[in-house]
Amino acid sequence: MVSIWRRAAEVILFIVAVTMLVDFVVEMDMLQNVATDLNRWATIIAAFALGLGAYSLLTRHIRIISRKSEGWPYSIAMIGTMTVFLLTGFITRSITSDQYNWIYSTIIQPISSTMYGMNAFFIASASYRAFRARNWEAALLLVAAIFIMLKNAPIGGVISPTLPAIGKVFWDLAGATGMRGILIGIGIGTLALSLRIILAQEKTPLGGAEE
Amino acid sequence: MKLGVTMGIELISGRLSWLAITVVFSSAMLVFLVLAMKRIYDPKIRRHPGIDAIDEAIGRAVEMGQPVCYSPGIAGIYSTKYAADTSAALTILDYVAKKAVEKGAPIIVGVAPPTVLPLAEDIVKTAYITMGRPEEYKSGETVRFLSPHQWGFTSGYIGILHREKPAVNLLLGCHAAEAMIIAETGASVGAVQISGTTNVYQMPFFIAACDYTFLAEDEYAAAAYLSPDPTQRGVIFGQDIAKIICSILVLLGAISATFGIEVFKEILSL
Repeated sequence: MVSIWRRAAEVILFIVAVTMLVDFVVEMDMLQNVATDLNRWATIIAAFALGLGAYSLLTRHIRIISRKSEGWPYSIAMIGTMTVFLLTGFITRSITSDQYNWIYSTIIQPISSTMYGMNAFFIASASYRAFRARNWEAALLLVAAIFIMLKNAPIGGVISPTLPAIGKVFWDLAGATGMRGILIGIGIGTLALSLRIILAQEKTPLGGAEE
Repeated sequence: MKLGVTMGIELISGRLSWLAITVVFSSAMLVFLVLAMKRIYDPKIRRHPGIDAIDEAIGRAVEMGQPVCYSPGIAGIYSTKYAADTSAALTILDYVAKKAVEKGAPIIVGVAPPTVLPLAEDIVKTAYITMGRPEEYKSGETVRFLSPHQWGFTSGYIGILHREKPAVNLLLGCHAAEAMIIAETGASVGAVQISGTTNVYQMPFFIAACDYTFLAEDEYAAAAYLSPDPTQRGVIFGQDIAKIICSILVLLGAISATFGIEVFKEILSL
């Protein structure tokens, strides 16, 4: 049985969704104000969710430390980092202060760049698996990939000017048209999913679906 | 274009055609939804191989006694561009969690966006309650908030993959540059990997690294495939009708552009 709270949430979702949709199409001052307020509420609710996330993270890592579970020193590092960031923000009363920026640019940014850089190695290993010509589709993928690589790498043009041209044909015709077809499909799929959510046919965006 | 000026309401220029197309497509979907709801027409939809793969993979996890790992992506539920992906990922999570609990495989959900955390917790907790095993749900352990930061989440998630050695790794929702690192780590620990994305730039990576991939709107439709409710299939059938209409529009547009006829283009830009 659907609870009254869930039904209320479905009704609110329907009203909000229709309001935002109408606001997208028509220009009306009152509607614009309502839509702006709704967006603000969304931001505020998201901020509460961040607090919930921080609480969940803290309790989990405190539990790991108290039980001395595997890798517990990492949890101390996590809580320590979190505390330093929080204190820096509170003491300087800004998230754009020099101290805050220093921590960001000397710790987080290099770590993020390192993680991003690892992609190159993972792409190479995944390509090795994907480009094995096990069937004709994989063989076709392999051939297309070779021509695209020769189009982008300077060596392709050095070997023959025809090679980058063939790569461009793959890119412009097969790649671009395929991508546009997929994008149209995604657009219609998004509309169908939104319709299912608005009409309360899709239950999970409001939490666990009771049977 | 300003069509109506009564009561201070004006139609925003360039959105009339958008409105018309949305109304036509939504009507097609609604018609088949109602027909399916009233049991007048129950469309038959081909079962996606990826869905069968989910069932098989969960069975494998049970046999191996290893967990099922799930990521609903890095986009929040309020994300302008990828909210639909996150929503679809949560619907698939509902199915995966119920199947995993029913068959006795532990599930670990790694969450990045804070807005998704309460939803994912509620979905998984409800799955445990529905299947009569509420005591097996471990708060903070079953659904783990890792980090709202993309690379913080990535390192947290690959850490889970290395430590827990899951039998199955499901990557649904919106994933960006971190997708490759996670998927390759999953492959290195021997997990069966099922992914889904509507991000056209990530599709090749998922296809290369994962065993099964829900491409584009397949991810959205998966929820309807998974539902025993015929009304869901009705919407999917309506969606296919919309695709046929769209294909006709593309064909007409191509022909009119070839012959230099501008009327069609002008109508669509209203």
